[in-house]
Amino acid sequence: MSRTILHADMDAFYASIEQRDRPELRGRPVIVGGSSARGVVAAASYEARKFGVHSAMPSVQAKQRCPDAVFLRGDMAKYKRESQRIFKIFRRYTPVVEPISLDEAFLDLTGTERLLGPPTQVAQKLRTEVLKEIELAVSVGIAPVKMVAKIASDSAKPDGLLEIAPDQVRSFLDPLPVSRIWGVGRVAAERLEALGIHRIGDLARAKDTSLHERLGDWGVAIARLARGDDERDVEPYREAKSYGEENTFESDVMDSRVLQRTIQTHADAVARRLRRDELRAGGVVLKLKLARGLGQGRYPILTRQTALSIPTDDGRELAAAAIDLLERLRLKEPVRLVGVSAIRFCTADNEQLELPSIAMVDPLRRSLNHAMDQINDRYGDHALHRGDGPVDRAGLTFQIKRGED
Amino acid sequence: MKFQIDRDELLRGLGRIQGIVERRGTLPILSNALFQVREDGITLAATDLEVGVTATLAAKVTKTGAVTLVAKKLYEIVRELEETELTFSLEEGSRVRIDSGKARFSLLSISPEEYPSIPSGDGVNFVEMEASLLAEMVDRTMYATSTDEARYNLNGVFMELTEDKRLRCVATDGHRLAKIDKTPQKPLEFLSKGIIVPRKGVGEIRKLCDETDATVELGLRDGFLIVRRTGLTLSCRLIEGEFPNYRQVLPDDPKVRLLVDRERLLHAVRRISLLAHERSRGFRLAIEDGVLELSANNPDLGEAVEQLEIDYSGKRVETGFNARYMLDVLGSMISKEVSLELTDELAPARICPADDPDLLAVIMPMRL
Repeated sequence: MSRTILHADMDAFYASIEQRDRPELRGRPVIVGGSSARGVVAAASYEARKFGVHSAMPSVQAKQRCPDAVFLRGDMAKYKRESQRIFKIFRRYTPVVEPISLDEAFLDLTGTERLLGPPTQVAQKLRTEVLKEIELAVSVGIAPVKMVAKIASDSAKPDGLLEIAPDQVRSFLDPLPVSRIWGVGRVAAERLEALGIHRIGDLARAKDTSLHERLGDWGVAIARLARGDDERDVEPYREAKSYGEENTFESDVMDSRVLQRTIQTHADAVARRLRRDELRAGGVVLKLKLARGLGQGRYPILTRQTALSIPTDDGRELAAAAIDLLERLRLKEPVRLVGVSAIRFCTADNEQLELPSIAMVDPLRRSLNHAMDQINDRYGDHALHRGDGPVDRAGLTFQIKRGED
Repeated sequence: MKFQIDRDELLRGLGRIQGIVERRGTLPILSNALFQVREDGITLAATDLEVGVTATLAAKVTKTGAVTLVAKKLYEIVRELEETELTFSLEEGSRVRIDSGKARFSLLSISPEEYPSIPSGDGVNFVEMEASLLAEMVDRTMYATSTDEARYNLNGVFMELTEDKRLRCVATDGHRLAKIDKTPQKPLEFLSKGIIVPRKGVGEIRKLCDETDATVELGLRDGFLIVRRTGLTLSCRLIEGEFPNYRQVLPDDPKVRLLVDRERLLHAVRRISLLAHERSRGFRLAIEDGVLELSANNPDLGEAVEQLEIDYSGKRVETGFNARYMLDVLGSMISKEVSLELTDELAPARICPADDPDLLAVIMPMRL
């Protein structure tokens, strides 16, 4: 049965909220993101986009392109509140809402036509409600599969609506560059272009056997997407497979003590999320981006992971494992970015108990974590922190925390 | 340097060090074996800086000297050679030439000066111990060591001299613990302060015990445990750190004590665990009047139950365990019956052979 999937994506979300709340910014280029040397753009208003500024662009470059832009550090707590209000509107139409980030979601409208009317009408109503109640514009794409809906909403921007009927999918996708396929980044696009595959249509027409030969399973998988064949369901309760935190330093870091403290801060944040969701991590991943550039804004990325014999939700233990990975790398060069992720989740039940007095996490640590969580939940994220950690995240650049926390 | 050696003699020596040399190490020299050629024979040595082994080999020496050769490749070469006698000689440019009948190999050598020093047994006050007894103590405990590198002080077997001059070995990974006490013919006085011998070293000691019918010698030297038999010396760098206070975890006065046929229990756990959750490997163990019931369920597969008859009457006790831990313990014992001692669902369980009070294992339950 053909499905009806709607992809809703707020236009220049963070920047639009700022323009809404501060009328003096309306009509002016607004850039939300880190303004430091290493900062990146988290959101750019359409006025700024005219100058070629886009999200994830280094702030320095954005400043060069658009010197008159208003740079704002942003207020993540406010954006989260707005996001929650918007998602409430989404859920008026269907309970099957899959959040992709704070400002983006899939809605499965399959089978709602008799109840709600044709999808285009639903989408228009949703857009009107968001505009009226939140005073923000949302663009919507409608298609039989997720990936096409996402591309359609992107094509509809700003403040637009585009429906791709099942028989229009191929003619819509074929002329688009391969980089528009969800999951095809710069490196992947370059690989495809090296094979003479520039347009989605080129990929759709390529033979699976030759793609498999040249690109392996990945090639066959993206060719299916190129043909509009995307079986992925809208998953309202999609379980996270990992929790991660990372930051780019203001200036490159050699000092292992700074790296270790940063790892501890990230591990604490990750651990807190594990505790909130009553999960334990059975593994830890350390990610490092080295300062030595490879050109074109690319840097070598190292990731190392380790298994924990006892799954944990304790920040000290996660950090200890990540720091151990760091030490084993015997790094002799400066680092640009460091990240810590928790992986291999298990629930807090099915818990292997530890021998008393040999236990690594003593019950005291557990109650300390619990107490810290309660205080931070009540008085704000950094009301209480470790004495030996960084005082706060100042010095860490603005993080784009999409759909997290 | 030049010597002639019997192919099988060399093959035995090279085979013995394969587990120690690093395959793809950061330091190339550690992939090599050191040959020290003296007038009375040669020694073959290898180390990964943690464990070192030195073996003496019989050879006809023409010219003394020393070379290092890549151990794995040399082993592969010698294994393929057909002639029984091999000749090694140092060539120009620090190459070593190996002649065997009409086959000739020329291998690059790294300078022996670069080879790390391996603690020898010279000057060590050794104490003799029965090889079979040491092997038994290793077999009953080694499985319980931790492989989690963050818990380095648990990555080995703890050895100490007890107050009544017995030798005690303890291993734990924080979830389970194994402890054995035995009385060797001579007390190992140098262990009055306990030592932690790393897993890899313990594994090598176990091998060494199999290579002799009689006794091995043990002694300490500069942070290394030295173990030797005729023809072979092993050095294990000890783990620096405190072994946790294991005495506190030994449960006393359990509520329930019952005797179970070890093999029956082992096979039942193995069967039931087929339907345990893949990751947690948890199964339930319940006892009540006359019955011990094992069960497991896996939401994706189904469930399994098995009952064993036991001589028990009293309160029902139910708890859960990781099947792997239970199988490790039961598999490490040899007695016909084991005594299973439980208190409640959150207290440590104690398992010991019915006929051997010297051995004890403790497993922490799992909250299922």
